[in-house]
Amino acid sequence: MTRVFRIGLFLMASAILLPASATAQAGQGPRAARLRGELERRFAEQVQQNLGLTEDQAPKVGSILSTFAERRREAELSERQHRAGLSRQLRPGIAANADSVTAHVDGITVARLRYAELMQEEMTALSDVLTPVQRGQFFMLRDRILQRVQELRQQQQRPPS
Amino acid sequence: MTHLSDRMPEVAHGRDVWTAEDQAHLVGCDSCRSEWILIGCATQLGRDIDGQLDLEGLTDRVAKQLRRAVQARRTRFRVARWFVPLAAAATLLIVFGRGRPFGAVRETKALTASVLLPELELLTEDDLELVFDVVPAAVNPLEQGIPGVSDLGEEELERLLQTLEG
Repeated sequence: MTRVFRIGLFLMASAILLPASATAQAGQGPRAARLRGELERRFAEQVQQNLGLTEDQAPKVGSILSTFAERRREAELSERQHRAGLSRQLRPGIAANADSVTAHVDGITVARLRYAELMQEEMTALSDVLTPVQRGQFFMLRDRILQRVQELRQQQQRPPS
Repeated sequence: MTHLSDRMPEVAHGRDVWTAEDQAHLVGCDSCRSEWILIGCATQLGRDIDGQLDLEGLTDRVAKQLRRAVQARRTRFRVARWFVPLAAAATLLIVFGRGRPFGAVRETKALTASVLLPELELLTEDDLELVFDVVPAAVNPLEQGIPGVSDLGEEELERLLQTLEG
């Protein structure tokens, strides 16, 4: 994996994780859970159909995606916690603790790097199960959704005009 | 335990008798005397019940209880014989049939995972609705409509009629 690709993944992770703190409590209700479930079901169907997964491939791919999704969630959670901590330290009118600020900034950076690494590791794991074409199709399918998620988060961040 | 101990039950039941020497020993030996008294008492126990005991009635009651127990066990088994496969079928339906309409075309082996996109967890409900634009639903042949009787041709209608008439 080239350095450029690694940097690309890092930037993508940053873009996805950046507005995380603002929406930390977003989508917690039962309707949100139902919508997420439906989106994931459709995504799984798309992957299944577009990649034409065989009976042998499907459970292996499912296991890999599930495992790495959990790890990405952990990276996101860690990033959110550090961002919340950093926000607390940087409240106007209150003196910040230098050590805490450093720890939170480092924590955010580590979480983003971890997210990018997980994406890379997942692709490597999938290469053992999928053909290069299938892997490319999967990357495109998910990237389209992640791009959409990124757009929506950026819109959330924009101040109302 | 003495040499008399073995003979005590026989003597108590009248099938043997103590000799003069035995009787002299029983008088002189506290241990043997106590044992002999105990054996004698035990032999007398229940002797007066013998005449009052309704053996036939008792046998009937025991037999009835046994029949009831066997019947209850059979009933439980009959219920379990239907309930267990039904429960198993229901469990399989719940586990594997979630989100799939009855009679839907079985997929070869569906891709399943508990969570695929944790990134969605940071979106609001309104934003989640907007993600559906890039994840359209797969086309399900059943959702396109099941053909009705009016959709059948003449030959197909005749075959259907023959099937219904036997």
